[in-house]
Amino acid sequence: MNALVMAILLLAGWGYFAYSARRRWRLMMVGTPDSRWDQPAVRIQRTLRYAIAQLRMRRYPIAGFAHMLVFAGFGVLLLRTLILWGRGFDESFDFWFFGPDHTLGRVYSFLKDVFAALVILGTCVFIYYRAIKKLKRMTLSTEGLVILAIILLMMFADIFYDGANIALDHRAAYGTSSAAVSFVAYEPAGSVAAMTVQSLSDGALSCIKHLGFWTHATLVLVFLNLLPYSKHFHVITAIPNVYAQSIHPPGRLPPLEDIEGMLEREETLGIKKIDQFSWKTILDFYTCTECGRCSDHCPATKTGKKLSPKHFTLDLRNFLYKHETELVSAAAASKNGNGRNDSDAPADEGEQPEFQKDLVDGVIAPEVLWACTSCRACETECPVFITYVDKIVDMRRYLVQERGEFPNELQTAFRGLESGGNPWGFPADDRAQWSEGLNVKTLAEHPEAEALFWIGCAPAYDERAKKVTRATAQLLQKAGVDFAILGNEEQCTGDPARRAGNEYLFQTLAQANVETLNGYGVAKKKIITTCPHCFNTLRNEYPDFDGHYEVVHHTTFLAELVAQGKLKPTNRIDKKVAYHDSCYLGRYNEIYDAPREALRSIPGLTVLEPAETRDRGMCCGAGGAQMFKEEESGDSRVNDERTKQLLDTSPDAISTACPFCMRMITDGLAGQDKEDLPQLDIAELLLESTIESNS
Amino acid sequence: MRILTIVKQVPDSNATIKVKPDESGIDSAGLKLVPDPFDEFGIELAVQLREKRGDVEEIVALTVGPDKAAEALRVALAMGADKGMHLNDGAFDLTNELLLASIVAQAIKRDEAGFDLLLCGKYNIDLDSGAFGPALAEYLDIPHVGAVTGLDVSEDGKSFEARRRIEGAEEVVECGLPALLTIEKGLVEPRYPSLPNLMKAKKKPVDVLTSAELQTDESLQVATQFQSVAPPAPKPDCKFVEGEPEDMVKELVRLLREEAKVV
Repeated sequence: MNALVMAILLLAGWGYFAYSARRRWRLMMVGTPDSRWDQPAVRIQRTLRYAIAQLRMRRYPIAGFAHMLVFAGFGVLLLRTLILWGRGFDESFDFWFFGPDHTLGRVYSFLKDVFAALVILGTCVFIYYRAIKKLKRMTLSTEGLVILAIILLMMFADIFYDGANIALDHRAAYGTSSAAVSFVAYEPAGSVAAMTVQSLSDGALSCIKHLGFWTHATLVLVFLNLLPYSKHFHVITAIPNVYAQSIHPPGRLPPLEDIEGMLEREETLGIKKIDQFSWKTILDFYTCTECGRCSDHCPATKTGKKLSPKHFTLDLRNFLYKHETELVSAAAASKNGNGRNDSDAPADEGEQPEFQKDLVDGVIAPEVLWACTSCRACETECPVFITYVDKIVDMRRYLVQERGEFPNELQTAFRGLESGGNPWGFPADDRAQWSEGLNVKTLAEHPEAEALFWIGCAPAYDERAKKVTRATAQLLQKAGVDFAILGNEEQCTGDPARRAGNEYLFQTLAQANVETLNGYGVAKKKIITTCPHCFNTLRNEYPDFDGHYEVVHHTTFLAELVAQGKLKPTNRIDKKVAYHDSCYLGRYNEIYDAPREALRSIPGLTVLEPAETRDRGMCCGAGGAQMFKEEESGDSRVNDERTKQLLDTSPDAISTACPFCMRMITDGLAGQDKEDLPQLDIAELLLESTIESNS
Repeated sequence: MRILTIVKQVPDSNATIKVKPDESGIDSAGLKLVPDPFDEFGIELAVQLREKRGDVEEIVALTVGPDKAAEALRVALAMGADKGMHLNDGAFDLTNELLLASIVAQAIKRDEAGFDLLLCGKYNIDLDSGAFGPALAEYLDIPHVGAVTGLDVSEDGKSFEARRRIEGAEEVVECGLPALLTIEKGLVEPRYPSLPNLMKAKKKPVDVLTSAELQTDESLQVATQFQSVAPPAPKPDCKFVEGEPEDMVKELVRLLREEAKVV
């Protein structure tokens, strides 16, 4: 082999790659700082589970398995590539231990052949999905097929390089007239290739050997240089992206720190421009493989809304790439000047270059942002841990707080939250009306109570949800739980305001609530709540505001009371009940089993699972402040689609564990002319099953 | 064109109103106060006129009320008004609308540049009274159009065409400026002031006027006299009759006859 050619090839290949990598690095550094290096043990563990073992790939079994084959094959073949590059300089190069005479070499040679074959198999699966089945979720670009062709070609080149080598060696050792090449166990693919080519002339064999060698050695470098400019960049960025994922609870949105100070410094409240995203967000953009698993499960995409998480990422990435030069030079200029260009001088608004313009004016339409139900189906699906809800909320923050632009109905919710502490603007004084006749005490009346029953707005004011609240309170009383409520001192946790982008209003409510809760020493009590949104915010978001509480959802708590024998469901309820997972219980807080256990504790009751269930359970359509606005226009409504899935199980009743889900499914049932099908909260079913046995 | 928009601070429509034990007024402790939603239509209209037209030089927001009423002014400034006038004096009896109108008229006359368009809500939701707007127009001797639901201001800014709903029809009024309009719900949807604008509103100028500058006409003290305020009588509880239709009818007839004694 020609050492000079190899040297030039390596220098050119790696040189250009270094140039590309530097470009991508500098573009990434345009993003704002974001520390992702704490808790390395957790991060390493997650990297091993999700980047190396690729646990999330299993969610799509066939494609996932094919991907694992290719990934593992790449890992194994990396060494082979290094050996081949070395052979450009010294034909017998084998890293000293990996020659055919070493056991290690034979083991590796075997593995390499097996994995080369598996990579071919995996690649064929991918080609089938792309070229024949044409899966809708994927972006069916030529680029994808070109890369797959390169991979196939690399594998075959390598195998036939081995084959020609074996055939030539055989001929050198035994002469042309000798017996045919036989199968070699430690070179399975190579020896089979040798058998197919052994009848060729020396010249032809030598040609195949050289062709195979140079094809493989060159294609690896071509592949390497395509990566930074294609969706295959994930080959390099996926592992760091998984490592740098957020290790906070998914239910916690990062707060805007010191809003008043931000206003004084004229900083943007939220994300307006592309360079206000963090470097990690840019790494997310680099890592997106366009596989479409996110959009495949997005309730907005599925019902024909303008939002598709995959395209959200791609649109931002394309915009970022388009303005790479300007962004990098602007970042360099502001670094040398006076800090980041964060303020918006109104004087030059008209002359702002495109890359500095509002993302909502041209890159991401407001209808895209407002279609998100924050259900996290996309984030749960993404194999490389790209996040969406935080980015969408960040852009909503800008729209709401800076531009004052949002769906009109949300204004009613914001004003209601400001004036009455609830999104409907009901009188704050009526907050405890649901408890009439139940003899429920407030913490002011009974400060030593062991538990606080946090009610929440819908459970306090919504006529249907009030029945659930009453049922829960009655169950707690039956089980002898020493609890109290906040009464009129409770306000909305702020979840709808926060998800709608009104961070300032959320923080106002959060601070007020934390003050009340800490005033009663609730940090030493247990908080029980029936609303998964309250549950999530109290548990995962209030710690940022100095509120550290033990929070438990009523389904978990009731299941525990049953397990402890404090509640005895003895009345039979002979019903088949379809259970609908709430996103904020399930995907956000991984509570799937407790509600089902509570249901199964009722004699006679069978739990039915809809086709999409547990962490794939489809959203009801209410989350992310959708409850308080009109659904964006599309082909169908999210709650209708979900209701159909639930009805497909032919249930006698539907059970929910969230007041918002309950409302949405009620509307969905009406849409299907099934108003009469009972829809009950787990607490109501449990109460029905315990009602006379204990009294 | 200069626009004056008048805004009163009133209790939030969702707040629970408590009456003082001596019936001398409503208990304001802990009461959530907001700019009157109908007055907000006026502010929004002024801001929209500026956004649409090139000739709106200044929008001034005016309020009458105690120190706390400055909050209502701040909302108006955050929505887009340029400066504020705060008429703040214990002698400005907020329940006497004629007196208020005469005081506001004096304040307006002190402004040398003068206003082309005066805007306020068709009534205020606190006392459900709508005398203030027309009365102010009278004191200023300018025309007034009430409960406007549609508005086209002429290009030269000298006249306008307003629409208003009347019994079973819509009335179209043409009128010259200056004039006072009171605004009906539906003409515009007030914006939600953004945070940066709320911050900027803090820095906008507000002139405070008291009884030192504005005379309270004693003859008007009797125009409206406040007597007392009492909570409405609680609604009697509904009684639900349950059971089979036949039994329900029997029970209903029995109740009407024996308890309600109406049949």
